[in-house]
Order: sequence, then structure tokens, then C-alpha cells
Amino acid sequence: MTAPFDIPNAPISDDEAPEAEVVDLYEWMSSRLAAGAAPNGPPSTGNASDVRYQAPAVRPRVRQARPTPLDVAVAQLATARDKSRDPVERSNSFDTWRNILRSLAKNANTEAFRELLGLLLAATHKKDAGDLDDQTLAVLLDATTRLKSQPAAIDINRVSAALRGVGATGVIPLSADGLSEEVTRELEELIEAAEQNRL
Amino acid sequence: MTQHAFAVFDTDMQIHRFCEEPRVGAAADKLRFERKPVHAVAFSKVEFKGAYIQRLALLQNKVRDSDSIQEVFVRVKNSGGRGAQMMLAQLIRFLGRESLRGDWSDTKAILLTHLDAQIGEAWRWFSTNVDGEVDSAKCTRAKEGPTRIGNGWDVGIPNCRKQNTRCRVSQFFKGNTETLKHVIAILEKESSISDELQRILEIARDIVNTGVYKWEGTTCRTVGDLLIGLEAKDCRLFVTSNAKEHVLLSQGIGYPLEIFKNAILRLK
Repeated sequence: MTAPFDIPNAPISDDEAPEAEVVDLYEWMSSRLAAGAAPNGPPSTGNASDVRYQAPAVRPRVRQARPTPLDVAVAQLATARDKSRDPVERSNSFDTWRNILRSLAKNANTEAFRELLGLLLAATHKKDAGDLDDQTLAVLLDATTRLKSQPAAIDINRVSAALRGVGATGVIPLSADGLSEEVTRELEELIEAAEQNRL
Repeated sequence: MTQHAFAVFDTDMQIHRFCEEPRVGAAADKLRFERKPVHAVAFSKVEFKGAYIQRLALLQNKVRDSDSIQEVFVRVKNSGGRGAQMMLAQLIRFLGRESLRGDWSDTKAILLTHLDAQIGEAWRWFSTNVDGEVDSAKCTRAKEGPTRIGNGWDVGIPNCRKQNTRCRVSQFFKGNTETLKHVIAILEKESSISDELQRILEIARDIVNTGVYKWEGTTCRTVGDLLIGLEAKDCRLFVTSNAKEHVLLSQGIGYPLEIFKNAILRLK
């Protein structure tokens, strides 16, 4: 049976479907078809020509796809970049973006994803939205968008070059040569604490 | 002889720029811009891989295979010594001890994410944070960066063999026979020289006397200062913190030398 289904392809607002029950689109269509009805139409006679489209009396409200953490991260960073926003809001959005990236590190399952994530976290360590110019925020936004689509090695190289281009760096200084006595003592205390499992 | 307009930063100078201590890291970085244009020798990448990148990979491997932070530190100490332990401690301090308290699996994931990124980024940084590269010796090993392998990185430096190397270092040394004679003369005048200079003296004599440089294996890595010094022969200035070898080598080879005195402590 071919029927001209009226499949809402975008979530509709509450205003458009004030009385609708929230249903799963697949379940809704399955139940309609199981009842022998064309979607939103009268019971079928079994004759394809009888199937006619009728506008639904009440349009079903489609369950909106839940945004992924990366969708939220992109939105938060876009807010942080928006200069028309209050600085507090921008700062909070930037911190939320970082928190999301940090939480994603716990479930990063591809090497390139993890590497790009680590690069972004290191490049923005202890930074606030106000510390970064628009170009840098644009690079971070592009990089976060790349995270959404299984980044490859070439993406990491591009982000790394773009960060360098705006004077940012994802390098963490970890050389142990030349540390002062004070820093050395502090690190030794940290090592001792870790060795005793009391970090 | 045509003198180049650029200064050359030795491998240790590039590594000092990775030091969080301002009198070392920031000072080396400042010098890099004051001496601009600055180049690095391609062979320095081999030394950098051995001295810095391999330690990062060791940390990553030990973090991945351990069941607690306690175990990580013990294993890092056993395999990488105190220097590697200090590197891990620095990373934890950078990230914030408080943020790593709690469940080990979460801590592990955060550490792995950062170590993974640092291996790739440090390598990219090394080549891109100078104004150019000197590569007269065209070392095959210097072209080999860390490569992805499974969940980790292959950061090995293979022994040079005919099967994996098209060695031009041999030709490079032979092309510098006259300079090597000067180096020999300078080193032979000294009553006491370091182990590396002793090794350099033996290799230089061998090349001058037989015309052969025994490049197979890891020979270049044992005479890295000589190779880098020869590559920097015509530079405007050679900047290093390694006075022990380069004060004498610079006299034999003839490059102007600037000693960076800020870095003293060396961890093994």
C-alpha cells in the first residue's frame, strides 16, 4: 500500500498541537496501520484507491530527538561567543562547554576523538570566555563541531594549526628538567600522596 | 663559507620551552623570539622523540594498564625513573588534584585523554614553533613521527638498517672530513672530556682515517651533539644549555655559541 503519509518532519511547537498526546512517531504510525487505517484517514476498505489523505484533526506531537551532549556543547560555545550576551552568561556557557568536554573524556572511544578532546581541554585550561578573542572562539566552535562527526587525524592537524594561527596552544609544559626546588618539593609531595593512594 | 641569517636552537632548548618554570620555560621561549629567525636541526626531532615523546607514551601505557593511581606511580617509577614520575606529577598538578579525586576509571579517562593529545601535539609543536629546519644530513629517522597503533602510539626509534634506512648521514659526515679534523685536534688537546665527547672523538677519527661512518644501529644517537653541531656549522648563532659538549665542539666546528644558563637540574 502506498499512502501519502503526512509525516511531520520537524518537531512542532506546543502552540501548534496544544491538545495532542505525546507519542512516539513510529508507534503512532504502526498502531494506525495495524488498525487498517490510512494515517489519519478512515478505516481502509483494502482498496488502494480508497486511501485518501486527510489532514489530521489533531496532529501528533513528535518526540523531539534528544540533543546529544555535543549538540549542547556547540550551543553553549555559540552563546559564549555571542558578544550581545551578558558577560556572566557567556562565562557560564563557556564553563558548561568545558564541563561537557571533560565529561565526554570519560567515554571517549576513538583515539582521534580523545586526542581532539584533549587538545581542546588543554588549549582552554583555566581560560574564560573573556580571555579569548572571537577568532579563537570560532576555532573552538569549529573543533567542537568536528567532534560531532567522528574526527580523523586530518581534523586534529587542522585544529592544531588553527589554534596556533590564533596564538593558542594545546601543549602542556611537562618537562621535568630545570624545575625549581620549590616546585620539585611540591611534586614530590604529590607523588608521595599518590603512592599512598591519598591524592 | 656563507653564514646563514638564522640562529639554531639545540634540542635541549626546545625541550626547555616545555618547562613550566618561568626562569626556564618562559626564558627559553623569550630567547627564541629575541634570536629570531630560529631554526632547529631535523635530527633534533629524533632526540626529542627519545627524551620527551617516549616518556609521554610510557605514562600513557602505564595509566592504561593500571588499576589505581598508586599502581601507576609505582609502575612509572620502575620503568621510567624519577623523571617520568615528575612528568606525571606535573600533569596531575596542571589538571588539579581535586579534579582527579574519586573514581579511578574517571581519573584514568581524563589522564589518557590528555596524554593522548600531548603526544600528538608536542610532536607537531616541535616542528612548527621555530622558523625553519636545517636538514643537511637528511636523516630518515627524523621523518618518523609518533604513529597511531591500536589504542596507543608507536613512538619507537628503530635501529638503522639497510632495510629501513636510506642513510645520507654517512655522506654528510664524509663531506665534513676537514671540519672533523679540527674537532679531533680540539678534543685531543683536552686532558679530560665527557663520555659523549670521547665517543665523538673515536667516531671522528674513524671517519677521517677510514673514510667510513658506521651508521648502522644507533650510532648517530650516541654522537647527536656532533651531528647537530655540524648541521649548525654556518648558522649565525647556536643556542644550547649543553655547555659541556658544545664549548669544545663549537671551537672545532666554528659556530658562534650562546649558552643558556637557566637550566641546571637534569633528572634521570
